[in-house]
Amino acid sequence: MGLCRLPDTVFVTLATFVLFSFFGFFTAMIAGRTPAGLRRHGRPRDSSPGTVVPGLLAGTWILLGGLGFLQADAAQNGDPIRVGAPIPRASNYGQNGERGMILAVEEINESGGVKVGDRRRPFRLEIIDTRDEEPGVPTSEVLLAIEKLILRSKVDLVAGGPCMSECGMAALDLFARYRKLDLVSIGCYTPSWDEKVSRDRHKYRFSFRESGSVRWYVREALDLLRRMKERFGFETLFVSIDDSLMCRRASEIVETLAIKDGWKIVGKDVHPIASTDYSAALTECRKSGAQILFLWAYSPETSILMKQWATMEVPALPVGFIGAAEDPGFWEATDGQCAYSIVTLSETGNVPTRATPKAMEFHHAFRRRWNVPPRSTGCVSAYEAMYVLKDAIERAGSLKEEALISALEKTWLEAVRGTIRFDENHQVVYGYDPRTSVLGCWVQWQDGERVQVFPDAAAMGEIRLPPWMKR
Amino acid sequence: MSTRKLRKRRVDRGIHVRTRGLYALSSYREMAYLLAPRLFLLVGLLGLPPALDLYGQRVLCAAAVFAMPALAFDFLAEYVGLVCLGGALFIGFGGYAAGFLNARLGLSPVLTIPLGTLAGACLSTLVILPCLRLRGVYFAMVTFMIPLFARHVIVALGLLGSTEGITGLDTLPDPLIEIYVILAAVLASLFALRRLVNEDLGLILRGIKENDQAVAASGISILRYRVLAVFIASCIGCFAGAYLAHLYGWLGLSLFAMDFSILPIAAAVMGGTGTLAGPVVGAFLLTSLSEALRGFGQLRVVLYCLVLLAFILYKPEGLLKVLERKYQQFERREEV
Amino acid sequence: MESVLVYGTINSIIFALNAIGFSLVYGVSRVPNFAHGSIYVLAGFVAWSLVNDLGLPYPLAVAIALAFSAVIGWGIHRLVLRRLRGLPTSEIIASFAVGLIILEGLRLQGIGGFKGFIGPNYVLKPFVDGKIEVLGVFVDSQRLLVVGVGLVLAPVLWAFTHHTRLGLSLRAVAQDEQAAMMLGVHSDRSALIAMVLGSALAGLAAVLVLPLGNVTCEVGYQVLIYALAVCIVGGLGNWAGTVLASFLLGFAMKVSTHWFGAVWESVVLVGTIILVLLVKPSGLLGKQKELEERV
Repeated sequence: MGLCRLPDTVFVTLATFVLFSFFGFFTAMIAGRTPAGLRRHGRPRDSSPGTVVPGLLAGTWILLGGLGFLQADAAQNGDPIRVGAPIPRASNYGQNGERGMILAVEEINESGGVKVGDRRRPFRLEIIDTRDEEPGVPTSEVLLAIEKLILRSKVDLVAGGPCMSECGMAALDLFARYRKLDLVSIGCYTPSWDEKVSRDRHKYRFSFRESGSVRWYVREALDLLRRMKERFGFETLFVSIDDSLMCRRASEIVETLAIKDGWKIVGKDVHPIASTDYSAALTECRKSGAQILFLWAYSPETSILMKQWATMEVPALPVGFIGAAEDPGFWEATDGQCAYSIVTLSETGNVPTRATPKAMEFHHAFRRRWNVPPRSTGCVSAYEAMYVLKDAIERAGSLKEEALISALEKTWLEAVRGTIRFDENHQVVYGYDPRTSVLGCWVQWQDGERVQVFPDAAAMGEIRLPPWMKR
Repeated sequence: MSTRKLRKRRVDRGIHVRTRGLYALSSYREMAYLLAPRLFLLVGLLGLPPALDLYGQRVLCAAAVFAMPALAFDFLAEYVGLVCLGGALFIGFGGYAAGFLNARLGLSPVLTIPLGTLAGACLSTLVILPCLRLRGVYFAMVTFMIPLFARHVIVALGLLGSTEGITGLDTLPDPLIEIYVILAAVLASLFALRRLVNEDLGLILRGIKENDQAVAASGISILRYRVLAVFIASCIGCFAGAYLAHLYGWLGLSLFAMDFSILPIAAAVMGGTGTLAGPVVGAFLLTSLSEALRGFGQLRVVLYCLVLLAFILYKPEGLLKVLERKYQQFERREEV
Repeated sequence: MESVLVYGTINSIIFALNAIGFSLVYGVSRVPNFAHGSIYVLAGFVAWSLVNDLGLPYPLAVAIALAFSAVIGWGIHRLVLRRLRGLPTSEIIASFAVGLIILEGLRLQGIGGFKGFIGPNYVLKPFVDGKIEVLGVFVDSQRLLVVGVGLVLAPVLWAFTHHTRLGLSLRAVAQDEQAAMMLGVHSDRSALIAMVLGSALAGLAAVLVLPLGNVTCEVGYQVLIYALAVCIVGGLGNWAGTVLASFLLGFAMKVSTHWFGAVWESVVLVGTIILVLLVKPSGLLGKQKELEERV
């Protein structure tokens, strides 16, 4: 039907106008005859159904309809490959990912675009804000945003993806239903994602996860700890985590594996998420004689933890998943008291490294484009996602789903983080050899900079101990 | 400069006066006058889906899901005197009940939606029962806090997938079936409630709202009727929740999200509290406004709240009452 | 054990500070200012940006932030609440909408190209640095300053509402508007004064408490819920009740964290509120209108 092609705001504008006019004529028609008693005051004018409220409404709809029109129009020029990007723009991972994707798309388009068959077509990002990291936003709204990309903007594929684990899991079913290719690349870490895919690989074949799973990051953490045990002879761990389900579950896994590795867990602290005081935990840590303070905390208040740690000169090296410490501005924010803390940035390439030739190129390009260094999780993986898509499309020679799926499954792409390939559950493979897998990234704050210290293939510096810990 | 002073005077339209009582049946014109708004709503809502593309239909589904707790809120607030600010409670319990039946017991959506509605309604009524002794703003505040409480309890006890929820529930077979099921439910609840408030039960409830001591003095158990009213309202709300769980095949903590409490109230305010059709119209308008504003990114909520504020300040009686007034009366200016 | 005691007390006083402004406005004058949390965050943000972007000296920035929050309170009353006087539900919804506008609007600004309060830079420096030991537990001086201000402020406000003409007129309007007007109290002006004072107190709480943490948008929602909880549990309009409730809730949270694990903290908090509301709806020490609250 012709009406279906109009954006719905235009349709509703027209509909509102038509209906209100109809309404007006209808009432005027019905109330045609004036009651006799009022003739004394002259003929009352037939009142059309008010002017203010319908006018306000119609005005709003016209404005929005106009905007809706504009949005639809801009898609006509060129013949771009439209990539939908559902991103939680209010969250830091979302903004990281957005920057990575925009940079990649600009680079690809500048160098001629993607070769599909015998034509070259540019990429076009359709970014939509899913708001999924904000409290109070239900998953159904996130899914509706994705449906808008698929059904209204009619994108060819989707990259980026919701970050919250609940939304990410529900989105798997959505993509299976609409048979749309999806490359999760910003930061949905839950290990249940590939578990779910493994339970029905045929149904969920449309979804690929190109960002990491927390399972690998935990393993890396333990390998890093083992390295420190070998180098410094450390044996005791004090665990301090944010009290959220994810942190609790992850820390349980870490503890079990650490104990198997020979570590002694001498204390544990679970603090509420926005806790602003950590001195109790830090005093306990010092008393317990732990040598490593293993942290898993995402709230911005952990900067206070670091400041208190430095002021109290606790002789335990902070290692772990510290959301606030990922930010380049963390040094300034803690007046340099965050020195020596070791934190993961999830993907090699977020700080200068020589792991792959593309890593430094990416770092400089990112700095040039955005005037700030890449922040952390999401920058590199979202950037690479566009290259993965480009590579797969060129190999498949078309945008048909099944062709793309088999092309993606055979990906072997040298990229910033290492070499990208997917396992049988469509999960990107992490490892320690940049020639066969992608690498994670553990950095230590040294002299105002984040210096990569692990994995070895990408390390640019050695792990240092704070002066009060040297014996 | 003349010193004529004009004032607005509203007079009932002739046809409005003529359609009161039995004279409504006296000619087709009177009957049409009465039927027109209802038919307009019915035909408009039921005729909209084929005219929209698939995305528009999904927006309509989402809007209808919000319309039902808005209806429940309006019914409870204006006809029973209980301002229940916790619409998320109904959606959460309904969704969890239906999802639980589907995921753990393997029943199909045809069974889980009705059963989930009833189970959710029983659960919500049980939860609201102790709060019924309160009144006014205290009841409002407690019901606002209950969904938050439920969220924390579910996380603390690790029930039903806690933070990750359960996905992969069965969905309904066809998008057209989906949209018509919920639209039918909305229209059925609306007309049923409208009928209910004029029946004996409705009169008792309105009496309780006006002066509960007087009703109690007549030997009627106020508690019993309030519980019944809450049960009816929660059936309506929980249906929306059960349906939502099967719309996207998911249940999770965000079924208790604050958005599900706030949007129905905003819709009721916009559409006009007291007129049961107002919240429904308000929900549809507000949801489509919200979707249309997606292009604005962060400004979306700001614009949304500005619209709500404008309605509260300048047209507090709501859209539907304004339209009703224009339909039933005409205005003119006359000299004082 | 001592840490629970010490931090419980500090936590309670922080609760009380958050709630005092709200209590003055809602409890004493029955003007619901559900934009309280947003004014809190806005004041903190203004102070932060004056210090960071304009390089003003810290005390001056704080003073300007306080004045700014008072002006915002005046603006909200004049533009929004004055039209809705007497319609409690509409007042609540309208002020909440204003609060949402402010909070979500703050998500539009950002530094380093990021939008919203992202990054660890959104920190207000504490007034005083250093720490002392209390009962064997380290407490930093900023927290002691907060405790000090709280201990001073509560009796001052009590005296204000019970012994000054202005404070008494606020209470009078809440009790019986017609009678107060007959005695020469201007009803709208009292509400205005209540809003201005309440917002200024919110700003004061912000500049005192925010240096202990970061400035984020979520803090705004939290502060509103805590303030509401303290007012309801303590009884609207009763200062002793407010203080008692903040101690009750503050300790309940800390104790439950200590003994049951932090995940139960929110459950205990909301559970306490619901329990108090069921058992004694006008609050622990509230004595008003009990007959009207129940059937």
